[in-house]
Amino acid sequence: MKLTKLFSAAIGFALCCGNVLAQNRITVSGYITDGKSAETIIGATVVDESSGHGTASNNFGFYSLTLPAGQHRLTFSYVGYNRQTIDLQLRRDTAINISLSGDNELEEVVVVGKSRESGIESTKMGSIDIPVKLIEHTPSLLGETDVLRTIQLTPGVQQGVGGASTLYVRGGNGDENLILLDGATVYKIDHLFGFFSVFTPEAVKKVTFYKSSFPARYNGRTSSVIDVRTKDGDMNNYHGSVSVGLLTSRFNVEGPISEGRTSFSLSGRTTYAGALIQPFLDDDLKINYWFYDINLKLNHKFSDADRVYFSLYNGLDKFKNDCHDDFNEYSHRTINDYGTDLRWRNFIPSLRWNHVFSSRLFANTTVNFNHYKMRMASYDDYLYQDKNSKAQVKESTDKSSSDYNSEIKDIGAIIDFDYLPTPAHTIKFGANYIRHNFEPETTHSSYKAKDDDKIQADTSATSKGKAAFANELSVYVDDDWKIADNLNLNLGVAHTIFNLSSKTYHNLQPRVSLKYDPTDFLTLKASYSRMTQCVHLLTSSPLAMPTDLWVPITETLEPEVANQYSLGAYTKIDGWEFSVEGYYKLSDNVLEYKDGMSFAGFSGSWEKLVAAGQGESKGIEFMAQKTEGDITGLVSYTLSKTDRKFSRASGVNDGERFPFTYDRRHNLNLVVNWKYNDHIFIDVSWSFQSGAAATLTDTYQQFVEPDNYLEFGGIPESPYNLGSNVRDSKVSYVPGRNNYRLPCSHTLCAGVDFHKQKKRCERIFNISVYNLYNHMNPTMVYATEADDYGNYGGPRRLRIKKLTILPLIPSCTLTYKF
Amino acid sequence: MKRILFILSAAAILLFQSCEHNIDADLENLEGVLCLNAFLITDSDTNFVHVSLTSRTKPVPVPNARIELSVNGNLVETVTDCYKITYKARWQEEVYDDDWGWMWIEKSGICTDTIFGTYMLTSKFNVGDKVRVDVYSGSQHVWAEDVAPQKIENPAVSHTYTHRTMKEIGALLEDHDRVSLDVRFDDISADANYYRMAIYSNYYVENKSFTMLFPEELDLHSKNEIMDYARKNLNHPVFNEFDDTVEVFYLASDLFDGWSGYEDYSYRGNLILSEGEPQSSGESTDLDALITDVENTFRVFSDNLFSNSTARLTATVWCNGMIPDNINRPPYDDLFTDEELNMVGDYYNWHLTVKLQSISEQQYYYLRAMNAITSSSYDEMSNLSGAMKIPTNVHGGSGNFCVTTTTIVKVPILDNYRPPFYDTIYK
Repeated sequence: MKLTKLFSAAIGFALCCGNVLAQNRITVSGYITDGKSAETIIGATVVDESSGHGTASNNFGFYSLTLPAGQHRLTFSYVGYNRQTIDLQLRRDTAINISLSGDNELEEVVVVGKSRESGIESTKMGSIDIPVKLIEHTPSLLGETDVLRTIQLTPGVQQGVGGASTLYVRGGNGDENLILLDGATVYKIDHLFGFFSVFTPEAVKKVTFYKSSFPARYNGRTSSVIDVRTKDGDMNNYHGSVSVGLLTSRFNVEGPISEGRTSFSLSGRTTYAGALIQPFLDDDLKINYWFYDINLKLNHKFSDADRVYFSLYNGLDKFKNDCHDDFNEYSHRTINDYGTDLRWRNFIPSLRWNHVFSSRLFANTTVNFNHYKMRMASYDDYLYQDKNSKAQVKESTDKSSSDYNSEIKDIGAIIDFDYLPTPAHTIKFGANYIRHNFEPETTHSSYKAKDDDKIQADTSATSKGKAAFANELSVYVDDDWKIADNLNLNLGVAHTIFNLSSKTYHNLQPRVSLKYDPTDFLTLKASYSRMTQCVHLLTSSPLAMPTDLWVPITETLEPEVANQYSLGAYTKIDGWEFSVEGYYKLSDNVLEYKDGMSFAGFSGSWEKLVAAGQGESKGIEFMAQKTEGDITGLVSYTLSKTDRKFSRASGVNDGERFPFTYDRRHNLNLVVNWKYNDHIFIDVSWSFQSGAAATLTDTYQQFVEPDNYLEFGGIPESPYNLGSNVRDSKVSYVPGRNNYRLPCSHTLCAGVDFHKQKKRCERIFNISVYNLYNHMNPTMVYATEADDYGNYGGPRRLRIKKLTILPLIPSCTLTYKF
Repeated sequence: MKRILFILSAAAILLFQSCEHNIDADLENLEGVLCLNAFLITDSDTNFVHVSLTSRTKPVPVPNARIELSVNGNLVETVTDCYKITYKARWQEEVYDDDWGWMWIEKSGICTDTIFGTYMLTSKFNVGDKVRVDVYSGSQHVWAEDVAPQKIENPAVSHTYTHRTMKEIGALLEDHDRVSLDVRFDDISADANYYRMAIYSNYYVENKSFTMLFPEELDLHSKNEIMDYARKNLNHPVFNEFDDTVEVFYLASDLFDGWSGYEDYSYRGNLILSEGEPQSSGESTDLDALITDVENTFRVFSDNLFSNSTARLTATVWCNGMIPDNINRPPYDDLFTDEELNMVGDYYNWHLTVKLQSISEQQYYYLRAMNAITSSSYDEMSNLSGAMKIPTNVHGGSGNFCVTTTTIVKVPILDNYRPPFYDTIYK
């Protein structure tokens, strides 16, 4: 109740301040759109030439700029578009919608945009806009352009095991990234064990990546935010694209339903991986793996003040295998059919309403539903037929089956306000409510046995996991304050209430960012952020497995809290942007499996398997970007160190500090995009990471079973009877986690796009090679007995083996844009 | 799990053409670390401590350690000698006989042997005592301590015994006899508690020595007649060509005393023992394997599902032929093992011992880790995730030191049982 009052007071104060400050000031506002498609443009800048004051369009293309009454020249610009200037005599609040036309010179050059919330111009640091063009021009695995793979090339981001698209940002776990699709959280973000993300590039309009000073409206994860916005759909013309690749095919179509008022955008992607695998398998083993993604967006403009959007994402992975064994012997015949059906899906519809209350107050209201479900089912049918005429039982059948389900149902409502009382203040405030319903691990198994017609067994068992309902409410307010021409301060605070049935957690999360421009070409920034996280992903494997399980915090496991301090310096010289950022992040209540617990596939009583401890990460990141010209690209380097520390009582690594699995000291990335001519584009990326940490051993320790002869009081007939469970039993001895450094990884990828304008469409033929010089990067490393061990009774010899999943892989993709 | 992992990995690997290479690994030398392992039992006057060193080949027992046992901070016992075991042994010796030449003869006697690295403690301690063991070996010193947990009081155990005729399913013999146990006990306190339930069998046959009796009054003459009758009525009939009789078997009383040992019982359907995880009653399916890739081999469980209330554990002990069948046995002689034949006797005794142990949190996590490491899926998972660090509470070294408090319930299943058909055949 107190918080509600506090929040109301904050809003009231902001509004009053705005009204007072706004006296004798006029506000210009409106939408900035693409001239061709009428698609709103996010992050376009609006600058008053005379005063130098400016603003940027928000996530919905809306801008608002308050200026003194009088004559003004406003310039609207966005990278890839022609600059547009208008002269205005401001007497009263004015609404001006601007359509920017594309700059043909820059149309196919990868450029990095600027906005109020990301990049050098922003008060915030550690944030970057990832333009779709950059995503499309980042050389990729099997021709699959991927949002997450592009983000992996930015500093401070470590990738998962060799080539997986998982992100480990500034020492955070893979589950500490808030990944939003049109404002709704996506729980399962990948396909094919983590090698591809669920985001269809054709559907994506804008991606913004935050890793330190987080805007106050983002809550719920501690390491990063990836805000993916999908295309609204062309209001004026129909167009689209079709791509056929080695692994997937994709399409996108968009256009007006009612010209100028209603539009749609529909994208889809599916794979034929299963069909590619099948020829390599035995005839009696049938495997079918496929996934699809569907993105639909409908957009209706009621008026300049009201717009409604409907977004739908539906993605499914399905893995099915069926086996058939038939043994026909002289005396009997056995037939065994068994198989597995695994599927997991995201279903995320959302409805959004943009409303312009006034030229200074913009509101976005979203309601969404998020359903993530994973189901695994298996069956094993066995038939025995006896051919002996005297047999008592002629035919026996055994049928067993099991089902395993986990699901999350979130219902959410978000309201965000952008309030721009003066050019010096951009105030954002709002609230976000999510009703979580976790239903982990509901299992059902059954068994039926029959001898001829006589039922021998008919049993079944069902277990429902510990369902959890949680209410998560966040309220926030955030003011981006231009104190002086060269000094900006962003003050934000969010308060999150996470309510479980028997306990409520309150988390206050202050965020402060300061930007100072000592000279025209140098910018300095500093920030502090606190983030909390109330849900976690339990995973036992470095690969993204369908059994990975999202669970909420509990009465005993408190929310994870991360405090991050950052400093940065930025400069721009001749089309280049240089930045250096340093950070220190301390996280409390980081979850890790206790020693020996990570192999438990079933997560029943999962609270007892994990422990909460501390994570510490520090690093320095360098980045140079060339954002203009025929050759663009970026170079990034990160020097970082991340480790974990748990108490001895927690049962993790005997209380000793240990390196985080993805603690890679050096990380260097290079991306070059070269527009060779109007028809040929060459894209190259090279990434280098020093070795991650792994746990390896070649030594044994004694293992004494609790039920050995001595302990249970039996009298052994000879000491040799003790042997199996006292003397000779052995298990690997591991003194500490992550005691070994894997070899370094480096990968060169290259792709060439050949564009050709056909009569009715444009054809793009892409040839790309992943891991061009075929470096054997370690996907996993393990110790194994040498092949000749035991032949001569000699001492044990171990070999360390390295498995590489992604060697040189060429691919090609054919795309038609119409 | 193996198949699922194989298929999932195969899918990825086939798609991405995986490659495997040996690499040079400069692993730290981890040999020679002192390990202490002990499962001490409250109120017992014989407890054992196992001391060893880590090694690349197999653990090396430490014979010259000094063990100090302290209870509640007071040193109560020091042991420096390894445990010596005295046992009855039989062996064969090759001797020369004037008439027969070199021949093997069987001898028996009492032997003594030293179990290196194992030390016996004889001091008792009680529930609630803080027990500490220090081990000194050379310059190394390790220690560990634990508190003797509370005892489970007044457990209730009921059982049903089903003696079933053996039948063949596929190529396998289905389990023959079945004992279903229903065990109930109260959680010992409102705090988090940890337990395990072990079941032991004690089986022996009395008056086992007998020779085959062939009822002449049946007036059977031909070999076929004799064998037809024998197969219908006797255990393992073998036609003796010398005197046209049938031998069932011959069993010397000093060759077999019965047996006792740990029962690897089934806990299917019991959510407490499976920690909330149901299992199908049939053969393990892929999904079982995927989800239950780690079986609760050491039968540890927490009070998570019955905190401060009553636990109900159900367990099934399956066993092959505790009582031999002479009726309706399928006519396959080779279905029966020598061991099974040896168990046929006159009077049968079979007791189950249900051992309910209150254990420490450390032991719970240690044995859960052991569940994982001894599971069939461990190798594949360790390949993906690296080697497993085993929980230890031993300071200065490694190993596991625990104190358990045990409650024993004996369940008589067969008590001087004489199969009814014996009287019919042998009277």
